[in-house]
Amino acid sequence: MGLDVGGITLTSPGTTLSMNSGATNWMSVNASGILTRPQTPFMRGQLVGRGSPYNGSGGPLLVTADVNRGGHWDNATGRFTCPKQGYYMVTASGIASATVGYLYVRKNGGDMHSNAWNHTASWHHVSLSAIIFAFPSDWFSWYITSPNPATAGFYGDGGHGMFSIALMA
Amino acid sequence: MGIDIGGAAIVKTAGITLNTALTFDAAGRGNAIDDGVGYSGFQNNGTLYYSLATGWPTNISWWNTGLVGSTGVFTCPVAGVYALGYNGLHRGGSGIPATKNTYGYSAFAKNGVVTYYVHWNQGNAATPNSHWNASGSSVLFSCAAGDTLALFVNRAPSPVGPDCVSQNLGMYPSSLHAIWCRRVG
Repeated sequence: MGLDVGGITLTSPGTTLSMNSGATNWMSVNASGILTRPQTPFMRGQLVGRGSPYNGSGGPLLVTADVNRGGHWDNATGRFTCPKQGYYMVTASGIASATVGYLYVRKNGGDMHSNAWNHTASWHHVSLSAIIFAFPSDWFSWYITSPNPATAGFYGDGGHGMFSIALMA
Repeated sequence: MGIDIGGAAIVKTAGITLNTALTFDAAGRGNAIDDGVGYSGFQNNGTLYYSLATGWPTNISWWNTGLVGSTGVFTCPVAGVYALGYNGLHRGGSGIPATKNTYGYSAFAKNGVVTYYVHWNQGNAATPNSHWNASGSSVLFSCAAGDTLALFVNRAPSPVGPDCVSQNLGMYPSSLHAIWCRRVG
């Protein structure tokens, strides 16, 4: 028994207040007031089987998703397509080979935020995080640009880095 | 047609909207799309590698509610938990005299008081290091409405490393860094 709003039900099974569409839970607030939204778009992945070092050869980094809630990340294109307007947390980190390179997160192909490395020794830690506003169908990708030597890039054979995107509340 | 609870409406459209702000689309993806509290940006083409007296300035903001970019001070409009973070290039770089220390500090301050800081060391007189080192950190603050948050790099109230101001050491003030803040709870 609950409150039905056009097919969306607001129920209170036990001590948890839940909002569901059929059997799919959209939101819950438990007895401690802790809010969860299990349909939140989210991906997390790493560079796997790309050779090492790896820089995408000028294209987007082909991150392999370990978690891809909603299926908004495409391993083949290296794109996360935003399903909804909002603010997205975007993170990336890895270890980079000598000597120089630039790590970018781009929205619809345009630069948003970047970091870099310039170090004679491999492997050098590089990280990048930002909060990016997006409309539906906007897309995010990570790039490595201007590697020097041209083969410079991230460790690409699993682990040693992580990439993630999530819609914020 | 919706349900009114003391003026706060639960409305069903393609998904559902609570109190005109928290929207769930038809797939159940919910967020408060109008809540733009926070910012994400950087200081582009700056000349100082350390902070102003008030904080790390930001002259490029992709979005911003609550930050005064010229001072680097963010004021919390409502109580809540705020995430604050940065990443960028810490300067060893070229042209640093071998006799100078290249280490420095960055810190997060709440209401002008340092809460946490980190430290990097790129060399000293004995082992000079001219590299650029990517780094960064992030933290969560519990704030009341009106509290201020700021990032400091090699400038009080952050600890200040020897030679860092005289040698203009710290973080590269270009597009090669990001600083961001957002209320997360």
